[in-house]
Amino acid sequence: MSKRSVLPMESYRLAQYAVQVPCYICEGGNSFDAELCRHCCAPMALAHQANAQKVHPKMVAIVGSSGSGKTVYLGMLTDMLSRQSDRMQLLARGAFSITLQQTTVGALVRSEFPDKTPNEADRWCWMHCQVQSPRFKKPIEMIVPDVAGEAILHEIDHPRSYPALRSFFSKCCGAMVLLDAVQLESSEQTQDFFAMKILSYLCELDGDKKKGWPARPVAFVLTKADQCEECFNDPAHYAQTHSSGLWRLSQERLTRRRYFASGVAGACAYRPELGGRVQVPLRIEPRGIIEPFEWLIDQVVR
Amino acid sequence: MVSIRHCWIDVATASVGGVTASLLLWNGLCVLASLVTLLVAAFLARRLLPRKWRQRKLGRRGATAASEKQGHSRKGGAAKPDRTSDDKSNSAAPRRPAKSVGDTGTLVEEMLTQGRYSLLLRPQIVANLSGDQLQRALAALDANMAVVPEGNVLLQTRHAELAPGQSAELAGDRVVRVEGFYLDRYPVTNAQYYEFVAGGGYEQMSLWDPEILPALLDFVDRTGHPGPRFWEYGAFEPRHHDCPVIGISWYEASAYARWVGKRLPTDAEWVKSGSWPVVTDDRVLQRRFPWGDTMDRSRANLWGSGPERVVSVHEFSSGVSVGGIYQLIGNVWEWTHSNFRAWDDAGGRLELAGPMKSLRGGAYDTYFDNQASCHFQSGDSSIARKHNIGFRCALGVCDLAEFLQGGVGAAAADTDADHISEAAAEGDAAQKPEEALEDAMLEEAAP
Repeated sequence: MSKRSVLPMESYRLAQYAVQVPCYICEGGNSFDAELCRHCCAPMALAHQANAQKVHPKMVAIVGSSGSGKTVYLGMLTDMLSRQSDRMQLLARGAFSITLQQTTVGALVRSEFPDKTPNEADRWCWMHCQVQSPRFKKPIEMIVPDVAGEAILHEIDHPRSYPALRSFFSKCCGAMVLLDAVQLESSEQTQDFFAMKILSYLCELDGDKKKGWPARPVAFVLTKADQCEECFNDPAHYAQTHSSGLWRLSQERLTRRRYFASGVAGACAYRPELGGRVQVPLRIEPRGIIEPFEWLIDQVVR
Repeated sequence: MVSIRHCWIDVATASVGGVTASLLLWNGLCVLASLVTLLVAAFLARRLLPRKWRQRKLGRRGATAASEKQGHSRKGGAAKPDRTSDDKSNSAAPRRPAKSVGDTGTLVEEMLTQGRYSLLLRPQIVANLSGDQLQRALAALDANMAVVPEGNVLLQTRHAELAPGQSAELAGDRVVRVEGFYLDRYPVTNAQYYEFVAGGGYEQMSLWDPEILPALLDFVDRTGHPGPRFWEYGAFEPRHHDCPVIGISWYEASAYARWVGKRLPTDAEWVKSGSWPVVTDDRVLQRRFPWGDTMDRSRANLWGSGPERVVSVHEFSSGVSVGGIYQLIGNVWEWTHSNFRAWDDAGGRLELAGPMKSLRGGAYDTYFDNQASCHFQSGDSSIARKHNIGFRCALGVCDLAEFLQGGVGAAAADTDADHISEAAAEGDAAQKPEEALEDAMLEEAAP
């Protein structure tokens, strides 16, 4: 149901309404004062900032099944890079870009993991930031969203159900695929299957061998590696042993790939709650968080 | 070589001078005999050389050289050492002090070198020490351990630390009485732990808790030798000499503590030594950090304030506690004797994957300030051998000889050591000193 509103009859406003502002993600037309894109629900602030700065931010995808640790990884990464200044620095563009960092760190400091990312596209956190490093001549503008794992799976199984994802994936210049190392170790193949699905989906989306996904960098990050320490010794060997399907597919399809291990909690316990139990970190000691991102950015810049 | 040259001279002489063939044969036999003697001497030297000396030599040479000589391949994963063949003579348990020593003096010297001075100050042993030996043991105690006086300490729950501002009753805090004790000024270093490994600590069954004996063979380094997880060939990298030992389980920490005649501190003891409580009007006032109530990251090796790795125990000296204990916060988490108290978490009882032991103090990669405080408790599996967990040892004042308990620490050192030694010796004159020392050590070693 549409809502009636009174607008001042000023010519400049009418002129603004007359011109459609394309969404930076899906390129669908929107009115100039729209907060979210009416087609894909991505924040229109991304488009406004890109237009204002006359720079086209690069996009990087962080994908993984539900519960693989995308929110924690991304939140921790942004917080670490915004606090650190020697290796790489990250500066948020726009207040909305700090929300993810705030919610993640707020939860972790209380020794809790953040809530699950909702499936609705309009509730996802998008992060637009500027990455600076002594290795780069110019700072890099970057857009990284935190999307729900179930939404990614739904989009893979039913293409075009999430227009934002399809548009976003086709424009990405690199990706990080997160796999739960604990689940891999316990021989649960969910992680393996999900990663294979997303890899196949991306290669179908743009299979050009020179510019498509086969030529784009993909970092495979084994998360929660603090709970299976041998993962840190040789992540590639660990993936080969515990996720042989994904290993073969990545060898076959991707030319620029690397395996990493990461962990945020030193040890975990469980708190019983209604309808199950919730994992609780006993201490926060990030390991292997920056390295995959650093490698990916290096590859993207190259 | 001299014999060989001599032989050739003889041959020349014989050929020129026409000396008989029997002389030539005699010379040949001489050469053969000298070669055989050399071979036998080399073989005996290899067999009879003490294992400790060989390991030290290996440690100095570095793991790389040793690997080349022994033909091990790091990437391929070296096989576990055959403890039944080469080390058979050293694997006898329990490993008593060297039998060839024969006198107390050498044994005491060895124990002082190994950092086992606290054993010498036990009531059963102190009587056998000379005045000089007692002085040195007391000096070592004062140099390496700090006294923490008896008193009450407030033990906060995890929930209280994570949600400050709650009342103590609601948060589930409790006041615990702690007796006076000594605590190591520094975490146990690689060099100190090496003495334990080289001294056959992993082969002395009496040092280990019985339940862990089946898993003892898993406590090996990267190359399969007994020792901390990140060592190679039973030795640490020379540059990590003064760094805290890491990659050791709670059981290894406990075994080491027993070997040096100490124990792991309890949770309450650890908190008391860092927060240094003061009781006024029946309320326990204690600091959050050893240096005060405000976090100052420049005083501790934490994430963002250090080089993101373990550093020497002598660094970050500005973070010293009131009692003179270093690096309680940061660098490495420290095992304590207590269990992880997951059951009294005010936010709800936590379920653990297995039994966990309490960890205190934070490490070089601890991210949040509130987790690097004296009150924050974390935990890990007792068999976990992590990259950032070390330990330090404690010693109850009541465990020392009675005459040392009154004038704790430095005060005791100032007393007339000769007089003490004589007085103590009178009470136990019937037993031979070295026998009493050995027996007492074995009693102390039993878990």
